[in-house]
Amino acid sequence: MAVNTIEFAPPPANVAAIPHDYVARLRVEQYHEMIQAGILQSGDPIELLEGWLVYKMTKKPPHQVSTGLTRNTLNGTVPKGWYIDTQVAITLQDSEPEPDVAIIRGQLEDYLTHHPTAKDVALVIEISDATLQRDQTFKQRVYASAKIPQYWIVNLVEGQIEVLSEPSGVGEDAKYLQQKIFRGADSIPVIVDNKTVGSVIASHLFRR
Amino acid sequence: MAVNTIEFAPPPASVAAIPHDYVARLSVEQYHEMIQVGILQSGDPIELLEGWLVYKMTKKPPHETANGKLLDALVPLVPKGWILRIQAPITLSDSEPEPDAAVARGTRQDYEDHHPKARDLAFVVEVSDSTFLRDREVKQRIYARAGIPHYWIVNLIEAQVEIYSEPISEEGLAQYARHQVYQDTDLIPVVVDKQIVGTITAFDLLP
Repeated sequence: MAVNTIEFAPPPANVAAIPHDYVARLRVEQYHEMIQAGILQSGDPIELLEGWLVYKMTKKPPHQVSTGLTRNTLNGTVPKGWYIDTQVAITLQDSEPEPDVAIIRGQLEDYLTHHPTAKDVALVIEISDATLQRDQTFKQRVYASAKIPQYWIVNLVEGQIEVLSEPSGVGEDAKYLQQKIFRGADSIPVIVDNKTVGSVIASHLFRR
Repeated sequence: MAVNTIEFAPPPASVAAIPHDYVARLSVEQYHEMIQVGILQSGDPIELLEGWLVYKMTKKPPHETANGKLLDALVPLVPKGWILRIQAPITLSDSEPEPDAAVARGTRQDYEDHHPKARDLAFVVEVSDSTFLRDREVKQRIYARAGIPHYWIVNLIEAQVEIYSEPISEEGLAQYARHQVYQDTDLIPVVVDKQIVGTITAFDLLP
């Protein structure tokens, strides 16, 4: 069966063109119905963030390499009863982001009828080059608002890992209170379900 | 059959919260599919403007009165070969607005399987109170870009009828070159297909 990539209208030229005071956003249920009806397809470079359909960036080779390295490096630390996955959709209250890597409770088969929700997720990781600013601000807000305990940004631009924890606040005010930066041979603790289950070396998560 | 009004997430609290540089808008085709599969329903207070799902305002009594007067005034003037449509969608390249009135070419039967497009329309009318800014800016841009020959705003705030004509659409900018304002007993020419088919007064349209 041929798969057609669906074309969306491009982003607006400027923020003034957005009818922000009366624009309706989509709920997660509507987003799911659009996928079910084929108006959105699983190959589409789109995710739902705070009710907006937003474009995902095309992934360049270093992004793919870093995604694989991060998964492989973390794999040894993942405790029993949890698993690691890449580019997995996570259903939150008003968003359905697809983080590059995530540590998720249970096993793959637990999610045959629904995606993991915030309470099923110990750690989300975004590999950031072109999307760095979006990941540091907008995505931080989305993950913090959902109370996902740990959020790592593998910052390919500056060659460092940003570890965000202690989510606080909701909606536009949400953020992580703790932000630590790890570089080179720094050891990053891997925390799952409030317990440190191991550690990884910052430089093992990416090549530039 | 019960009709459920579908709930959308509310508008964002601030413009800063909009991911404007990478947000995807909907195409008219996607909007139609959402209606077809029931994600949107015909009773929903939503229209598609420049790819955005936007809320329509609840109509207050003066707005409904003006809609009624508009209907009464226009019905006798609509020439043969044209029809008057009230709060019905029109399909443009990136929008599907639902103007308060539209004069379209042909018969009702012609629009059994699609809404009128820009080229089918002589003019569209918006009755404006709380939506005045939207109607004067966003809707003017949309109707001008589509090349709809005349656009009327029945401006309830300033008690006047504004007629916009001579649509121009250049790179990124669309507007009507000509604006005329009619008040009280000023005579408004009703133009269909470049012919004046009659006149009405501003008084006839205002509550």
